[in-house]
Amino acid sequence: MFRKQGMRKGSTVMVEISLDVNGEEQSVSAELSEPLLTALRDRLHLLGAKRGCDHGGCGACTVLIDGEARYSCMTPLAKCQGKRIVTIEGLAADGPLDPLQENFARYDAAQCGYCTSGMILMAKALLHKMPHPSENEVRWHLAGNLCRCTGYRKIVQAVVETGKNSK
Amino acid sequence: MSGFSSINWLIPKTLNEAVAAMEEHRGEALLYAGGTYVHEQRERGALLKIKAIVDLEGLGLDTIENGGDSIKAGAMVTLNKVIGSDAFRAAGFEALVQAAYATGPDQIKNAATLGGAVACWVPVIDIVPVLMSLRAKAVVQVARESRTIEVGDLLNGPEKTLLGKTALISGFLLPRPAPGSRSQFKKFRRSASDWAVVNASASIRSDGAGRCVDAKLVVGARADGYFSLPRTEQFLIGKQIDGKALAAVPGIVSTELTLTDHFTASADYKRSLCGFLLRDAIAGAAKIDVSQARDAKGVDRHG
Ligand SMILES: Cc1cc2nc3c(=O)[nH]c(=O)nc-3n(C[C@H](O)[C@H](O)[C@H](O)COP(=O)(O)OP(=O)(O)OC[C@H]3O[C@@H](n4cnc5c(N)ncnc54)[C@H](O)[C@@H]3O)c2cc1C
Repeated sequence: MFRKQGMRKGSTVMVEISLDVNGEEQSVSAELSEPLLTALRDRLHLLGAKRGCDHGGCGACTVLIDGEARYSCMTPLAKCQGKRIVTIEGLAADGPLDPLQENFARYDAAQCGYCTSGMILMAKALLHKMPHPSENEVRWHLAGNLCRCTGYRKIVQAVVETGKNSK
Repeated sequence: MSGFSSINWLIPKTLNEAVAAMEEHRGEALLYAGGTYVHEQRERGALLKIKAIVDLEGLGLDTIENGGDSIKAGAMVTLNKVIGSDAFRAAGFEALVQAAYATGPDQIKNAATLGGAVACWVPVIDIVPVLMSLRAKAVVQVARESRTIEVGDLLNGPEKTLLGKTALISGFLLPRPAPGSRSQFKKFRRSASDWAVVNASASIRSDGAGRCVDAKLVVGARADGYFSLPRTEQFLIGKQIDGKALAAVPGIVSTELTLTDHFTASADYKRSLCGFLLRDAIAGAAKIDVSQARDAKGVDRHG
């Protein structure tokens, strides 16, 4: 049996954890049960994934883990080792914008922007599975991501258009 | 955020190792599948005594296998894997895919597992009434012994005390539906992202003439759990499922359900919802337009 144990620090047990974030190997010293969101924001200073509800209700913290959309607020670090994590910062690190990012800008799909990184990553996972989704399909699959400004219409349009223009 | 007080994250490679780990940390160990409900338990402060997490990811329980008479789905099969599975595209399993589809958003479906959904024992989980209506059995490891227990018995029957202790669900056996079988799942929720107030699953088998020869009906109702409905099943068997038969269903359902009030809905309202959802699920399974039932005059409550 494989045991992940670490050094006790007060009442918590800290472990050296290596993570593959946006294609780079990162090392953090943290509790295994620490949510990925906390490590991303507070330890790695990647602020793209947002803290919203902290219980899987809003989608602002969505990241990709091995290509699948996951809530980083409820994913402990223990479940992230050996997996590829992509945050919004990794989508177009040094290159041109991802077509989804282009279309979010083109269709004014953001107002305050708090939900945007989660929306784009959820849409990225969707377009990977379903390259040309209909409007209804986009609405259904984005149901786990809340937006309190736009009324969703422009977000949905940006995703549908990205699908239409993809090969 | 509050973590577990201190943690031993154990990743057993075999079922025996997993059970041994649970026994070693009796009362202070927690099985971990997709973690979606564990997260909520932790947020509530319900896991402060937990000293060891027994992570089931290394056990290879994430496959769906086509056996002879049944399909074997590992406990770690995620809901999105159920949706994408060829094995569950067969006639008779429609309700399973529908319930998986109706369970929370994609981010949850990517993580939540069949085993976790049953073991978290929260009324109302969508997949549970479906597993019961498909007469699924859970394969449960209790100490060194593997037992096969009907899902309904595991949750409602004498075996219900097993979960949450050292028992580990390793998988499910879903009998292959006989020719002529179809199933349908329905759910009533207050908002798009809410859990069900009431859900219902109907599994029906009809003969060549459209007469019902077998029926297994199960509803879930917030706060009360899951219920089989033998009286309503008996009413349907031998009958042509038409508008008149469907119209009688809500009345019969109401005679065999005793429910309690919940802040989401009163007992009477839930009972009424159960009847109408079940009627619609039966209509869907029998491929009957449910408006026929709305137009027909129902027979009296006792059929
Ligand atoms: C945002 C959100 C929305 C949701 N919406 C819905 C919905 O619409 N419909 C619905 O039905 N459900 C919904 N759920 C609940 C969801 O179905 C459950 O959280 C999920 O099924 C639990 O599965 P899991 O694999 O994540 O289990 P875990 O969280 O890992 O475990 C749950 C419990 O079961 C135990 N356990 C896990 N696996 C086993 C096993 N193999 N043997 C024995 N014990 C085990 C664990 O110790 C724990 O106590 C929602 C949850 C969230 C967070």
